[in-house]
This record gives sequence, C-alpha cells and structure tokens, in this order.
Amino acid sequence: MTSFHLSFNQISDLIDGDVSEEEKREFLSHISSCSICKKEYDTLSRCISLVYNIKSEQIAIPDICSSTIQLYEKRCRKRMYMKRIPAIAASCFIVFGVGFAVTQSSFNDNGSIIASNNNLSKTEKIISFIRDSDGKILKMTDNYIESQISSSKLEKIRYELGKNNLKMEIFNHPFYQISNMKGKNYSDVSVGSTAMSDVKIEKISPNEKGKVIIRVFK
Amino acid sequence: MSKIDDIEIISRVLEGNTDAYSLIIKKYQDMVFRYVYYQFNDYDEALDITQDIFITVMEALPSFRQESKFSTWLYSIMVNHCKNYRKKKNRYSLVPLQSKKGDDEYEIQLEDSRENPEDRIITEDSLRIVKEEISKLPDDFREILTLRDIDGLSYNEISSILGINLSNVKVRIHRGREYLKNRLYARGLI
Ligand SMILES: [Zn+2]
Repeated sequence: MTSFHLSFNQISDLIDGDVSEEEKREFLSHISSCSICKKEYDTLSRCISLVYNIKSEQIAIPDICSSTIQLYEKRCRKRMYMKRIPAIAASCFIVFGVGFAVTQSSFNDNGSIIASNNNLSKTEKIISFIRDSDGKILKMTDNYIESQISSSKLEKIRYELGKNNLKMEIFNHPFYQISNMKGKNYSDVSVGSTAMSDVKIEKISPNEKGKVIIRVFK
Repeated sequence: MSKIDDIEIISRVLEGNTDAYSLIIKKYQDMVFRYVYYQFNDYDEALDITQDIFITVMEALPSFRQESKFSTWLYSIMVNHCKNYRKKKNRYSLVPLQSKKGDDEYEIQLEDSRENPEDRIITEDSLRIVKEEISKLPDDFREILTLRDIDGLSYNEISSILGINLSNVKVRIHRGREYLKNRLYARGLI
C-alpha cells in the first residue's frame, strides 16, 4: 500500500483506466482508506462527469447537407471563373462515338451491370491499346479508363478503338482537365455558354505538353 | 438497408458523385457542430464554421489515405480548422481574446471565492456554468478536454489528431483537468 497520497495525475490516470492492474489495486486500496485522496478522486470524477454531461444539452442543428454542397459547388464555380479565361481560349472539345451524349448519361447507373467477363476482356483490350500507344493509365473506374497519351498517337488509338466498338472521349487541352460537377466529362460545352458554370477545371502538370487525356469507355 | 461504410461513400464521392457526400455530412454534422460549438460557444458562428469544415474535408478528400480511420482524419481537419479560425479571429480583433501561452505557463486561477458553497447548484445552472468555464479555458486545454472528456476519444486518437506524442497528450490532459477542476471548484460546482 502507498504511504504517500496519490498525485493528481495518478488520480486522473486511474479514472481514465490508464494504469496497470497492480497500480489500480494499489490506488483503489489507498483511496478506500484515505479520506483526502478519496475526496480528490470524487472531485475530479464529478468534474469529468459534469464536462461529459454538457453533451446532454439538446441543440437543434439544422440539416446542413444541401446548403453545404451548394456552397461547395458555388466555390468551385468561383474558382473555375478565375481559371476560365486561359482555359476556354485554348480548350477544344472533341467527342467521338455515335450517340455519346446518351451513353454518357447512363454510364454511371448501368456501368456495373455489365457482365464482369465481358468487362474484363474489354478492360484488357483497352489497356493493351493504351499500352500500344505508349500511354500512361491515370485512372480506372467501372465505367472507363482514363489515360494520357501523346497527341501523335491519338489518330491511331482512335482508329483501333473504333474498330473494336469502343467509345472514347478526349480532353484536348494539355494543361487542364475539364469535367462537370458530377465528374462526367463535358461533351457539349460551347465556349462562353452558361453551361460553363457547371464545369470543373483542374490544372494538370505543365510538363505534360503535347499529351492528351482520353477516357475510353467499357 | 445495410449501412454503407465511410470508405465506400468516399470512393463514390471521388468517383464524382457529389451527392454521396451528403451521407458523410449527415453522419458527422452533429459531432462536428458540437465540437465547434464548444470551442466558440456561439451557435451561428459554429454553424458557419461547421459548413466550412465540411467543404474543406470535401476538397481534401482526394488526399485521404486510408491509413487512419476516416473519423480521425475528419477530426484532425476539424481541429486545425478551428485553430486557424481562432488565429484569424484574434488577429483581427483589437483586444486578443486569449493570450497564447505554453502548457507550463498557465496559472491556476482561484481568485473567485466560492459563492454559496453549501448549495448544490441545480442542473440547468451547472450546465451553463460548465459551458462558460469550458469556453474560458486556454485553447489547448479546451481542445484536448473536448476530445477526451466530451467526445471520449482515446489517448492514441488524440495523439494523431493533434499531432503530439502520447506523453504530451497525457500531460495536457492532466493540466487541463486540474485547471478546470479548480475553476469548477471556485464556482461551487464540485
Ligand atoms: Zn491519500
């Protein structure tokens, strides 16, 4: 049994259970026989439980989901406007594949329904095309594979993909990656149109000049 | 309906599904709001800051590595956001609300004599006094006591959230508790 009183820190550790079994026994047995330490222990315990109890206060918090997401999108648009002028001046959107706009809107919803075998072979095909074009894979999702290739290889890969019935989309700007708020590519944006307000533009590394980013859809 | 876990929601958000993010907000808005509210003791201010925190989290999401729990990561963004907010606020206010001192330099204030030491103060009053005393704590103490004694986080979690080692976590908890205990004693609450 301890002959000295317990320190404040020891009492605090005891309450937190941050003591060994042996210390715990020792401290508790001291407390049970020492009114001074017992009082200290009770006081700190009460202090901690008072602090914990402020949680019991009912605070009505409005649902901030939609307002927060709106605010987020507003800030994105604001940021986009700052970058907009050089981006718009230089960007040009080229879309390949018949009926792309229709396909695009249904991709996210239906992409995962496609049979996995079919998907896998398509994935393999796409990867091999990208590899053959010395491309670099940037991102793979259930719906598409995004990669960066040299613009000189663009015609070749477009031809190969077309032969295999694969759709592809280009971000033709070498400095900016452009997508809308939902992360989908923008296919029908006309320069200066109001639709631009939904566009998200991310700067990509400037040493990637002469490269294009493409998405090949499965 | 099965409960979708954070990681799955996050990957959806990163896929471009911003709407999925509302699941994250719904799940954590109460926790974040309360933390902020206890730091600033102002409802409207806390609401604005809470929104800002969720926007910051959303923007930082691509940098989230799954080495820690999402909630721990969220906590550290939240704690830092509050710190920075306070710094900015103090910079622009003419009279600093609180002078910044190290852990060692706080004096235990006991100048208040106990008012009606015999009376047990009723619950509503005690809640108000505790909140008031928490809001008057030195920043470091308020921050760590919110994490430990209100949110019940472990020493390890606090260590990674605050970016300080375990022994410093313990030291700060000890000092903060001692400080607050003396304040609540002076107010006749304990
Ligand atoms: Zn003793």
